[in-house]
This record gives sequence, structure tokens and C-alpha cells, in this order.
Amino acid sequence: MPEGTGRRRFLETIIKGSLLIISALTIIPGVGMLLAPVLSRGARKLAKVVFANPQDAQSTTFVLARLEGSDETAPGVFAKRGPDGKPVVLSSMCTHAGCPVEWHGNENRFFCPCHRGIFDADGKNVGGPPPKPLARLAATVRDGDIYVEASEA
Amino acid sequence: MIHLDATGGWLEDRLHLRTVAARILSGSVDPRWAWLRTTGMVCLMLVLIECITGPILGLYYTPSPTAAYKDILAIEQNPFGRFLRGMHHWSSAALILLTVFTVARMFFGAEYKGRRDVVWIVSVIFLQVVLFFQISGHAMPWDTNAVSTVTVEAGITNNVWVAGPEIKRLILGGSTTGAVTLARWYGVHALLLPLSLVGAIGLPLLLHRLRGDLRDSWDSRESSASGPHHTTEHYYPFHMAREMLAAIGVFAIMAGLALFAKTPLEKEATAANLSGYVARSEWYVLPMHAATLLPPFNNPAFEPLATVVGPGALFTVLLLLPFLDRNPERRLSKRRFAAACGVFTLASVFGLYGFALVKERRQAVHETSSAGSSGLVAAAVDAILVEQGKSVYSMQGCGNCHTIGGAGGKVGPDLTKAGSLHPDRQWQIDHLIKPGSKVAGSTMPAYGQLKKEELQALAEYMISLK
Repeated sequence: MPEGTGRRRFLETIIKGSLLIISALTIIPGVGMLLAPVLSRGARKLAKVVFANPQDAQSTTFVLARLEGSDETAPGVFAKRGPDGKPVVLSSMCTHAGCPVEWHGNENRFFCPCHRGIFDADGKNVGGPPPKPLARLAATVRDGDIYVEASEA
Repeated sequence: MIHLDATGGWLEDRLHLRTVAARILSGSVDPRWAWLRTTGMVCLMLVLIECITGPILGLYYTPSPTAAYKDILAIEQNPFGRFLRGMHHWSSAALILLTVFTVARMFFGAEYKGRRDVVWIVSVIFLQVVLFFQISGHAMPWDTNAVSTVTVEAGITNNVWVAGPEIKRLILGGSTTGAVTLARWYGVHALLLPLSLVGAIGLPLLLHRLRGDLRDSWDSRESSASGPHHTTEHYYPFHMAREMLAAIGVFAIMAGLALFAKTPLEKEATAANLSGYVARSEWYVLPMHAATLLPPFNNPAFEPLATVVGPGALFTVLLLLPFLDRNPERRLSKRRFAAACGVFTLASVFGLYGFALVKERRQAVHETSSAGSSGLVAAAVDAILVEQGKSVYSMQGCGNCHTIGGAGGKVGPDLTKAGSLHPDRQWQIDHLIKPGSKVAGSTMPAYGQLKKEELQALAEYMISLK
């Protein structure tokens, strides 16, 4: 049917075009939302360092604390005041495999129980498999509380 | 004729895609009333939209009373999330309207007769599934509206004869609306219903179409039954193009609503927001609510006739219709009894709908819920207050001095039976503000600096300790 072929083509284009528009306009926002954790990675905010015992905000030896608003399961931070009163905040996450490290005060070093990684009191990797020092978070003091820069969510 | 195979025959060899597509798209249709027959495909496209948007939203959603509402707020913060939530919401509403329309069309067009009876049965089940999707999905944001609606729904089932309280417990997962309720409704909405969609609707429809040439069979039958021979046209691409144009039109409306209309979200379901809050009934249950306002259904003893028995009977009759109506006639003029039943049902539904609109919606729900669920709303509010009180208790370090259930300090008295000793709310609040005024010589610090809501929550928690 020669005169019907053009109409047929046109209708097939309508069918395929509609399907394409509906799926694309649903899937593209879907992928955008799916990638939200990657797309919003840059945003940073100030987070308060929360201690189980509020007096520990003045401690001159490392105390394990968590960032306000972070999940219970998120790795904590080690915080102390330096000799000049300035805060020192280190991530508790081992740079090797991500286990939480422990502060061994009597040996003046951090120890990772997973693969026996060792960091000194400045967070420098001095033994075992860790390839890098513990991450140091930029910290400031406001009204006696320690705040660090953390990535948003 | 259909070009799907861009892989040099590999897909065709392994999956028979071209054969399957040709089978599905084969057959011809009666071109009369053709635009009215596009709604089935539009529903399919809306289901597709729900199936894409739902799982993405699910990735950013925690089915827990403390997290759900905040998750929805976060989704609304993301422009993509806002659009997806809007699409998910508005498409679900359109699905109900179009499914009801499709079932009504199939009824009056006698499409449940002959070999397409299975499509009819699947469509009736689909309508039921769509309604369950809507009702369970409505609870997901866990805002004041969601919590009140769930509570009222449970209250309605509580009035069912004999097994009412058991059904209520099944719906709530316990005696009050709480975390377990949300968890099970989420499970129904996101796991059980999608599975039933695949098993009870998608699979039978696909198998039915693969059986081949069914459109031909019923169309030719209809033509011979209705006398003069009508011309037919091929389904693909002629009728399908019509279906897809209708789908893109509906899609444009949905996208417009998602972009420019506010997707409903009320306040967080905290005790303060819930007290005094009256749930308005959603539009898709309005006819049922209207029925419960009319005698004899406004008597709680007869209420289940309108809320459970009536709708249940209607669905059963619809489901079994191909076996109940053995009249071979397809023309409406020769199906007087069926036509009368159909018109009566539609008139009742729309009449009740109009009645509910006239009767002022808020009032309507309040009266419906009074038969047993307003007490439930109060109980739900109390339960939420107790939970908030617990968190105030731990935040304020009350456990440093007091013992509850064996845990805590030894300085203050054991509070395990605090509610039995002082069941009066005001006593508890006054005591917290100024302990010495109620207990002579008390060394407990005053907690007057707490917010009013915190004091109320803490008092409610104390009273709950018995």
C-alpha cells in the first residue's frame, strides 16, 4: 500500500517518540536524584564536636567525640586542646581500611586493632599498613565549644 | 515490520524479541470510540512512571517515625527529588481516576465477555491494587495527615463485627499507631504490592497477549452480533499511536503538576501538631465517608455495611462478572439489567461524592471517626508524647539520679511506679517546675527552664510508668 506507507511511518514515529519522551523525562530526573550524594559532595558546613562529658572539650589529652548531627554509626573524631589552647581534631578513621583507631594514652599513640596500624600523637602513620596520616580537621573554638569543617550529610 | 533488533539478530536468536513484539502488537481493533479505548495504555504508562520514581524516592527514605518526615523534607530540597515526588503523587491520583474510568468503560462496552474476560478480571484486581497502593503510600510522609488517616482507618476497621479489634491490630501492628505501623505499611507499599503487580497483573496480561490474535476474535464476534459489518484497523501502529498520544497528554499534565503545584505535605506528626488536628478524608474515600453519614450506616452497629461489606460485595461482583452475566449480547440496548446496575452503581458513587462535598468535608470525617477512632487519635498522641518524654528524660540526664526498671542512679527515688503514685498530669508538671512545692524537702533541681511541650511530654512519660 504505497499511499499508506508515509502515514504508517508517521504513526510509528509518534509511538516511539512518545515512549522516548515519557521514559527520558522520568529517568533523567531519576538518575539526577540517584547521583545526589555525588553531586552534592562539595558542600561543607561547620559541625560542633560533641563530647559524652562536656568538660572534655577542655581536655589536653585526646578524647573520642562525635560530630553534631552525624549518624550514630559514623566514625567519631579525637579531639584535644594543644599547649596554646588551640584545638586539635583528628578523624578516628584508619587510613588503611577505615576501621576506628583507638587512643592508647600510656603509649602516646593511636593503634588500629584491625591490622595493627600505628599513628603517633600527631596522627602520623609510623607503623603497620596505614599509607597516610590520620585526617586532620580544621578546628575553631566558639564559646568554649570546638567546631570543625565537615562535609554536608 | 517492527525494527527492534539492532544487534544483528543476536537478541532475536536468544530472546525472540521480534517474534514476541510482533505477537503482542498483532491483531486489529474496532475503530469506534477509539479514543475512549486508550486509557488502558495510559494506565500502563502511569504504572511505568510510578515504578521508576518510587524506587528512587525509596533510596532517600527511612520508614521510621523519627526519620520519615525529615527524609521527605530533604527530598523536597533537591529539585530532582521534588519533581520525582510530585510525579509519584499526581500519577497515583490519575491512576485511580483512569482505572475507574477504564473498568466502567469495559463494563458498559461489554468488554468482559468472550475471551477478553481475563483482561476484565485483571483490571478489577488492578483497581483494588491501585487503591491499596494509594492508601499505604499516603502514610509514607508520616505527617499529621498520614498519622491521623492511618488512625482513623484503623478505627473504622475496629467497628467491623466480630473480628474488628483483631483487624485493627493487624493494620497497626499493635494497639497504637507507631513505628511498627509505618514499617509494615512501607513493606506493603514498597514490597508486597509491587510483587502483586508483577504476579497478578503484568504476567497474566503478557501471557494473554502472547496467546495471539485475541482482539480479532472478540471484534469479529461483536461485529457479527451487532449486525452490520464494521471496518477494523490494525492495532499497530494505528490504534497504538492514538494510545501513545493520550499517554503523552496525561504525562504532560502530570509533569506540569509536579513542576508547578505543591505536592501535599503537612506538619510533622509531633504530639503538639497532632493535638486538635482533624484529618480530612482523601477524595478517593469520600463516597464511603458520605455513606457513613446516612442512616442506617451512621449507627456504629451498621457502619461496616458501608465501609467493608458494601465495597467488598461490589468488588466481588465485579470480579465474578464474566461468570455471573451469561447474556451473550454486547449491545447496551439488549442488556437492560446490566446497564441499570451499572448506572445505579455509578450514580450512587457520584451522588455520595457530591453529598460529601456539600456536607463539608472536615465535619464529615470528624463524625465518622467519632465512633471509636477519636479515642484512638488521642491514644496515638499519648504514645508519641511518651516517646518524646523518654528522650527528654535521657537528654536531661534524669537517669543519673533516678532508677527506672533497674537502670539509673541511686540519688533520687525509683520512678518505676511514678504513674501509679501520681497519675495527675498537672501534679507531674508542677513537680518538675518546683519539686519542693509537691515533695517537702526535695533536693531535686527545678526544671522550669524546659519548654512547655517538653514538660508535657516528660509528665506523660511519668504517668505511663505503672
